[in-house]
Amino acid sequence: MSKLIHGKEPIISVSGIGKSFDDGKIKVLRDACLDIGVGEVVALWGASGSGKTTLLHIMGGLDTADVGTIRVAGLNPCSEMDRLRLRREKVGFVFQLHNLIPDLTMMENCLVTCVATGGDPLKYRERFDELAALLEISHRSDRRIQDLSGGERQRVAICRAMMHRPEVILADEPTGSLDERTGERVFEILKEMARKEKVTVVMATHERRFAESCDRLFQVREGAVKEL
Amino acid sequence: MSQGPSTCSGIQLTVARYSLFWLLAANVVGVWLSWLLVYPQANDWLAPLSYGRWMPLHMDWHLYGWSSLPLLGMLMVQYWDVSERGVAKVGLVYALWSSALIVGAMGWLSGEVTGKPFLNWFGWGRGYFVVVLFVLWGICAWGWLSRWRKRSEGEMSISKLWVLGGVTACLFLVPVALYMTTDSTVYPPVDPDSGGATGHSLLASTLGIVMVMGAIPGWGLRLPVGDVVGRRKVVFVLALCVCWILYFLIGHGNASNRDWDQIIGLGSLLFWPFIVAWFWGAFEWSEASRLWRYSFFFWWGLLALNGWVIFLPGVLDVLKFTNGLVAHSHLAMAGMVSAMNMVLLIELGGAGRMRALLSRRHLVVVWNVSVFLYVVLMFWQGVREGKNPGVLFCENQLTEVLYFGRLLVGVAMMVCSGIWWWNSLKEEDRV
Repeated sequence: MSKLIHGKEPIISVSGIGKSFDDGKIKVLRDACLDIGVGEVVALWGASGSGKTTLLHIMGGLDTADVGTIRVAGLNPCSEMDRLRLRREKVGFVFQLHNLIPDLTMMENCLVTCVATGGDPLKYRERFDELAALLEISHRSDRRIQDLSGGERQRVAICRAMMHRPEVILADEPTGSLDERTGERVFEILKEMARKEKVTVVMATHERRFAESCDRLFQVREGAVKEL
Repeated sequence: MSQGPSTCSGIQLTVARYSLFWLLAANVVGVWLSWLLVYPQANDWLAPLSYGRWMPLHMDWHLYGWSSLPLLGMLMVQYWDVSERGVAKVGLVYALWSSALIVGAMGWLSGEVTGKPFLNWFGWGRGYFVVVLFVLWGICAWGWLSRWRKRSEGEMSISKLWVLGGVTACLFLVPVALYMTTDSTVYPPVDPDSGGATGHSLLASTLGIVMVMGAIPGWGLRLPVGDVVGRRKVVFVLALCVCWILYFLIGHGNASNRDWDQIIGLGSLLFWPFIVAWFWGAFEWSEASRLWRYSFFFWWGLLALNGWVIFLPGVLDVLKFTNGLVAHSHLAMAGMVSAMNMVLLIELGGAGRMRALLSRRHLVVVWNVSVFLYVVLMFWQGVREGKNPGVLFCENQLTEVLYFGRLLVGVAMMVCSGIWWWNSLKEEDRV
């Protein structure tokens, strides 16, 4: 049973999660446990191949666990019935290589979410304007992704992840492909947005300095998770 | 020729009922997919069975169901006579094949796919289909042995029996090839500039289909022949040899659509609709199949031209991964293949009412006009997407109108297939 954080039920509760690939030959996660409270900015810190991305993917319903239980925003990401709602309403993803559609403009990339959720296009347009202003990318909204810098692309990725007002943002090495200064700026923006939007952020990173700036820090090592 | 096709109406009805059922089933799924594109929120109604889960059913039921079963019927009438036992064996073959489509569908709906659009057999479905194919060809081999034992009765000439034996032996290679090619680590050659199929692989696969088309009227359907068939057969075979030589001369492997030899190789297919039409003209076809034969050659000619133009550098760069290729696929499956299959179902036997049903003029017209409209709508949308992908991914009124138009013509085609299937059930087996 998950413990209370600040007197409230955790928004993410992971208990005894295990995951392996290649018919069990490669064990990526072993008995991983953690609880994350509402509005926290949490780092999963560890070397490449430690299991951070796999854990994020399981939390976001992009992969399933072999064993263990997990709840994210009241839903089970390993259940087919819950996964659609989880991905569409509860979770936003920021990927290391942003995964934006290069031939679309910045605004079109963000409005794709509207088609998937079947939302009101006008409201989504207003939401885009609001987020683009906060992220300081409004002046580039008609530019195609291929014409943007790395830092701008990652800001668009953050914008897209927040379009549908998710409760949780899962960010996989969001600064990994950026230079030091741009990486710091993107990290600050992510934290700032999390506070303004009151959203929980779980960020996988291999950079200790970013990890230590978060509210809580979990080390992921050889598939095991430990809070530092 | 002791056993003309006009006597095997029992087998014809079995083949028609199963084939038309799978046409209807695939079209129902197709209409559901069209509806999901018009109204994406409908994905939630059957979640997690959303668009991506249904898509393989539509494509694979069309390819392995409707597209395959009439050709399988043409093969069946080679092995079995018109006795009740013959009809029962053909019924068993079709029931087994259909069971593989159902097992496959359960896998596709649960998300088990290879990622290869036309080789989507994975997990249990893959194993089951391979086993079913071995069983089916075993039943065919049994049929061939029965014919061989009765060779002295002159039901089939010795030379034709040997050819049929060779074909039967080759059929056992099909499940082996299917098992290998559905492996997710095995890939055919890829055009490095487009990411799609290469010119030489498209040429080879189409020439394979041309060979089947050459075998349909004489060997397959055993239609009466006119005086000119011998000369036309020679020209057909010579043209085929020239194209195969061309195939072996042009580059192989991961060849680009910017290479002239690939463009010329694929361009050689433009002549084939005319050659095959000329060759088929040497046979005596029934009046009932006339409209479908005209449709077949019209769609094939358009398909060959459309396929070649789309393949050209500059054009493919704009149209790849757009609805322009959906239009091309529809031209092939709903246009050319469907018309050919209707010809087969009509000519396969002499069930008069069956022939009348499939050649009803208003249904033929509705089907073919719907196919044409579908192709125009999706090609239009494809060109728009090629110029600006945003019209597909974001709210766009014209995209919605074109998608709604596609839904309407899809419903028209589904209704046609429903009428054909329902009425085929009312036919009586007259052996």
